[in-house]
Amino acid sequence: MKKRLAPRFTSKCLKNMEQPNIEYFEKLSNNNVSFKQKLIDIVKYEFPLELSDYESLIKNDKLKEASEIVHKLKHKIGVLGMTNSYVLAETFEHSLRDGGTENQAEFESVLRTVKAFIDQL
Amino acid sequence: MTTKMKKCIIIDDELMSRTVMTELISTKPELHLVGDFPDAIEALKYLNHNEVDLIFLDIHLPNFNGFDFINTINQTINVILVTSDKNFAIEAFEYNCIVDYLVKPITPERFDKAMARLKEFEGNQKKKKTSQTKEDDIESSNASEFYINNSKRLIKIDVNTILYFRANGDYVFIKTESNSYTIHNTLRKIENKLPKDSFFKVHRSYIINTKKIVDIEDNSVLIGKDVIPISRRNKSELMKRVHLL
Repeated sequence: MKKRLAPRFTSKCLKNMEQPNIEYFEKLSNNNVSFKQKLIDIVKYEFPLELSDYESLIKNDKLKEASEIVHKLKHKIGVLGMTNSYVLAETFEHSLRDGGTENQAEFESVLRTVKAFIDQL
Repeated sequence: MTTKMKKCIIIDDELMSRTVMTELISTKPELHLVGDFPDAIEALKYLNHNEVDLIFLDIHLPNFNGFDFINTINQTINVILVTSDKNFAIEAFEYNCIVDYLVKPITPERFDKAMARLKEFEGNQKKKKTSQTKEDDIESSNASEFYINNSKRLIKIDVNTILYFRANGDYVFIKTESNSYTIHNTLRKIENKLPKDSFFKVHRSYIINTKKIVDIEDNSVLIGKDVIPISRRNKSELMKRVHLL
């Protein structure tokens, strides 16, 4: 049987969630506006592709392959300063690698938060 | 005094990681980025034709992980691992070529620390190399006989009876005055153990005992009854060693 994506969290849950930021980009770019924009453009380009790969692999129950994508998404979550969500992503990555889906709902909620943030960048 | 710039490459399948690493590398005048690769195979192709001093390597790569890559290059180049996975840290330090283990996202401060570690690591490598050269010199100057492993038997060979060595793939053929042997070894390793005053590498596949030369003609030398080629590059050095009247 094919896996369904985890149900969405309520808006109350989302309100309390750790929020992404671009402090890391600002620090790295050291007031270089074009470099900061380059990093933003890359995250805007790579994140949706990885998100789409993740969704497709989960739908097709390819958990091990999905763990590889979560590994990449984890890095995006990290560069956006979401330290707690990074730990959550790591736990979920390991769980997928072992064939489990624990923390899937929480992880997908993080993805939605990141997507919303990136869309308005 | 000017410091030699270290040629480095990045191997990482994420564009974000490669961009961040490129920026961090650009802040270090001692580093010169010569390439970045999204997969290990492309990097291997590059390394087949180019030399680099340092590799920033991701562990999670498509089809070929970072450790497979290190094993393929025989640990000959210093590596800084750059990964989002903390779980390989212990495994990483079993490799002599791994300088540091950076967990993404990498901060400029952590990158500075990695550069300091690289400096210390290279210093230790230099010290190790110097002491190894000294050991090799001692070993080579004292050797008048040595043992070879031939079909699980250790056979003593008097160095003065050796005519020449010939490389043959992973094996070396040894011709002495009364016998011949084939052993699993390399010409380079053997060369380091031979007395330098009487043995000379005349060709990339041959080391001869110069005391056993019968004659030299054009680009070959007769040792016993065998004709050995001399490479053009080594001929002048050989001629300096023979006492021409």
